[in-house]
Amino acid sequence: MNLLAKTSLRYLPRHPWQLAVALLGIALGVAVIVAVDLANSSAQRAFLGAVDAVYGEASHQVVGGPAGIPESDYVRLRLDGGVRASAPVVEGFVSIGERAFNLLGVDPFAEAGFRTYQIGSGGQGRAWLDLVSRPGAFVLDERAAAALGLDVGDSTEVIVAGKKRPGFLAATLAAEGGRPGLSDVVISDISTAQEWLGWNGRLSRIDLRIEDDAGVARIAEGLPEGSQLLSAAGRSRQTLGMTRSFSTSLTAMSLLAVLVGVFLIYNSVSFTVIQRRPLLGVMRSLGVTRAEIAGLVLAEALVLGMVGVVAGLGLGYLLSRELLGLVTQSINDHYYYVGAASVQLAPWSVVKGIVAGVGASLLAAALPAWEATQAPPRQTLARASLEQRVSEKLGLIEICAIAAIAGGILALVVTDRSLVVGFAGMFLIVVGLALLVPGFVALLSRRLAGPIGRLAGLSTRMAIQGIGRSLSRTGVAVTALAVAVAATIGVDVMVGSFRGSVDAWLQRSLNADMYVAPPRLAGGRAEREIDPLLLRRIVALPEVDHVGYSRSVDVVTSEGVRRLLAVDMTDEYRANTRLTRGDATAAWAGFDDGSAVLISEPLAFLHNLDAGDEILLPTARGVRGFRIAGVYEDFDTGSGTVMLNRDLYRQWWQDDSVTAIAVYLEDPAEAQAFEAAVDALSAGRQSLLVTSNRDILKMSLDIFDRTFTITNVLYLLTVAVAFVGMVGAFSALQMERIRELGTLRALGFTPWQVGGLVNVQTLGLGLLSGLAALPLGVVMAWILLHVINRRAFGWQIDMSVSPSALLGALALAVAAATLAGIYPSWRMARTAPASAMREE
Amino acid sequence: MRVAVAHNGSAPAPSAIRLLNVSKSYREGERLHVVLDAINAEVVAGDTVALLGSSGSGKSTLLNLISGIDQPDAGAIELAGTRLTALDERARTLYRRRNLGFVYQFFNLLPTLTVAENIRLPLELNGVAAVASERRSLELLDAVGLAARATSFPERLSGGEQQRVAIARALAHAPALVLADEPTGNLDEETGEQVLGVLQKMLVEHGSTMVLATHSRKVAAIARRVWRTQNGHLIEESGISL
Repeated sequence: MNLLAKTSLRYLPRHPWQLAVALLGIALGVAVIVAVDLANSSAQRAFLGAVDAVYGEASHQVVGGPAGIPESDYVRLRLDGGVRASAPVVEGFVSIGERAFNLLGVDPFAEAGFRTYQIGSGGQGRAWLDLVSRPGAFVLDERAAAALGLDVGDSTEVIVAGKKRPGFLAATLAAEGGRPGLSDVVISDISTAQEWLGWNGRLSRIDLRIEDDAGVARIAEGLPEGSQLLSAAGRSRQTLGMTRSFSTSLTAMSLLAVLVGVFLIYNSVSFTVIQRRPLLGVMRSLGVTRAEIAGLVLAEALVLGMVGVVAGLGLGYLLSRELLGLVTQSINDHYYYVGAASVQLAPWSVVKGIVAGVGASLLAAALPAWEATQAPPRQTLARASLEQRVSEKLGLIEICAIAAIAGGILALVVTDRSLVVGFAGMFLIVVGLALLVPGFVALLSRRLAGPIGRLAGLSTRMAIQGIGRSLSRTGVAVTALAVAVAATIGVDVMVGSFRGSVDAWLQRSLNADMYVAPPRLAGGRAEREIDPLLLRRIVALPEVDHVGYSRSVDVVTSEGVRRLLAVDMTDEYRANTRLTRGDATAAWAGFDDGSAVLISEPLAFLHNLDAGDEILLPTARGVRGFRIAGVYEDFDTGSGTVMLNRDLYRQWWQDDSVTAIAVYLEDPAEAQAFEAAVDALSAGRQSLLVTSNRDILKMSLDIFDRTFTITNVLYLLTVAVAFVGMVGAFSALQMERIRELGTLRALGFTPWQVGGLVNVQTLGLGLLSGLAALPLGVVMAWILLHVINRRAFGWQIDMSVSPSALLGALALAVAAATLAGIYPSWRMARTAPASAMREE
Repeated sequence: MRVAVAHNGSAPAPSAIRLLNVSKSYREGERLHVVLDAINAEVVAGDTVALLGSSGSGKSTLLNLISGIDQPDAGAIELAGTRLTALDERARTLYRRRNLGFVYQFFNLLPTLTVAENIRLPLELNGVAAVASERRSLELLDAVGLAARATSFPERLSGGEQQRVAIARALAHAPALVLADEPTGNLDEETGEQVLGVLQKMLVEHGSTMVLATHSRKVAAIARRVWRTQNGHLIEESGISL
């Protein structure tokens, strides 16, 4: 092996602290990237599998409004229109036992060419016959059946929109070799699905396979009013697109962890370079060229990167298994029911991890490598000249900092839509602010050394002065750790502010005493109507003062799914709905007289819509434009909600059903009596959930917390990286001073005094990191909230900085610093001064 | 300018070092400190020169300029006919790698390489194969009396032993010029003498030119010529300012 390479290989194990911090920084950064990427890609695959399972091989779909398509349209299309490659579908949600499923009602005789099913053991032959001939017959994935304890031929209850329906397991689908995504689907004959869902004579959609454009045009032309022809691929894309913001924000979080990792690697690598400057100077004197020195430093970083990547990949895989559960839970909560998914090792995720780990290591080492080659050999031998050079460079560093901040602000201002540019802007601003930290360290240590020294004595003064005078080492360490601590503040403030905004919004929105609705199954979608007779009886209960009716339904447009929220506006609801765009008086007037609609903030932002614009919606009488009167505050996660007067909805969608009621009681103390009365009325008829506003608030915040569990996991990882990084870096700094400390011992300092000096300095470093992190973290939080979240989801969140987030970050820095001082103090106490002074 | 004269008085020997109006100064705050002021000097191949002077008189600065690890403010430096000051940084480095050997006051051995590996380093940098460089390092260790310590790391050696390894490293690739900066400055008298003995013996064996910076007349006595650095000038001990 090349002797130069040997010098590196033997150097690093001799400095285990730096080695450990560098490796940990890389490994954790890679682990987070790989874990988030694997979890995202596995969840998306499961998501696409679930969508594919219900869309099959269709090239196009005929869809209708909320009431679906009359079955007669299918007959006309197939027989009169001669479209043989067509299959009717009735879609919905059911639950069996405790488990939720997508319901796919199909015509088995029309399914060939659309969806393939591999029947498992015990059900062949009779399966399809049973499916079409026995009411309530269904087919289920054999693992799901086993989990529910169902055998082929067993009868069971199927819950549909709160109503119990008799079911019969006609066959199971083979788990192996079958179509992926069917594990969370119940397949029944179309008539069974229609009966269960109360959709007699109606279809959710008609799947088609059309080979040519002429056929598409011909079919589209012949469709009745209220139906539209959509491309299946486009619908899959739109459905997947709903989760894109979610996965992007997770990727952003993982990049934040990598950013912290890069700073820690930079800290470790630059420290090892600075520490070896005399050696590098000797090498240069012996004739080692600048390129060879740079190559040496970069090769070290490459090796470190590769070792860190290997550890990070393993750790990332393990972590991804935990994260995937959280990601799919969030998708189930907010978008689409995908059930449980398993981690699929995607080569691209591994490549991303390798590129990020090795790339970050090389990037972090590039500056120290360049720095190592720039100083003339004569100067590399002298430590004092290094500190002098660093001090001289502070002005240049500050100019770079201001340039980076200006560049970042420009990036944020130049466009208010692009998420990627938003990230780039955030990165530049964070780097710019980080570059200001060494100047801050120098200034503060210079200013504080005198006053503190007068109060606390010479050794304390030496400790504080030492921070500023060893800026080549302390500046980088404090900067790296300030970024790490700032990231924790950023995430903490972001989640706290978001939760606070959602909480306040929910408190305002949930102004009724009680809410009644059929239980939702998954994804918050496809709500089913309340039995009209039951509804009339509930409204007539003596406890009820007045009621707000609402009908929530998803409609499919060429630009994606839109949720329609048709409401009979109560005064309370109106008073608590905050309009963020449009003139409130005119907007409410337009809403009330049915001449206009209101749209949610995310819909307005993400689709660039505003008050006065028009939004196209498919109605029962064809696609029609509706004037937007205003934009209201909302935190939905889908692709947006349109709120309209229920009369307007009835007029255009010819649908009088109600999916939820907000109940204002005569006396709020009668909540329990009301709940009991509804239970008694609905028993045996329809299962209804009666929930108080407080319970809904709690449930909603539970979902919020569940959604942010993954963010918290990443946050904790960032905290762990920052903590270990600080302990490692500060300990390494002190261990490097062991010779200097030995001299102090020789001059008469007691082990306690030297220990005190070490601890005061590490504490000072910790405090400086914490203090520098405060503004950096708050800026990071502001960008995360007002740029990243806004661009990803369209939410407008009020930022609130809790003192606990700031104090927590300071405590983290101080705790790490305290811990970092322990080993060097202990080591000094045990080492004889003469021996310490001989230490290299 | 002095005329190069071989020290045995026969045919003129080739020039090893030529300093042509070399100046160097450092700024200390507002004040300019002139270390070398337009000095001219020449050393012929195989000669030994001691630079004598007090601390801060410019001995180390001159060594740094001759080695090319620092550049003069004005003037030119030629080593064996190569104008060092006309070379770029990389070319100077490669020149140093091939033609120069260093002995420092603080030894400056690489702590992560063994004693033998430290000696092999200049050989490897010059492209000598591993087997040959290993053999050569053992020969040199034997010559400096440290054959038994080949696999030790420098921290296990005494100061005198470290300096003997440094001498072996400086001469490993048979450089035309050896620069020694206070080679005994960090050693006791007896060890210093032993080290100087080793240095002298090896220089004779290799026929290298040497410039040695020291503040000790006793050490300077091993050189054939003695120059004194004083107030930015070089003064030959005969009393003639060079």
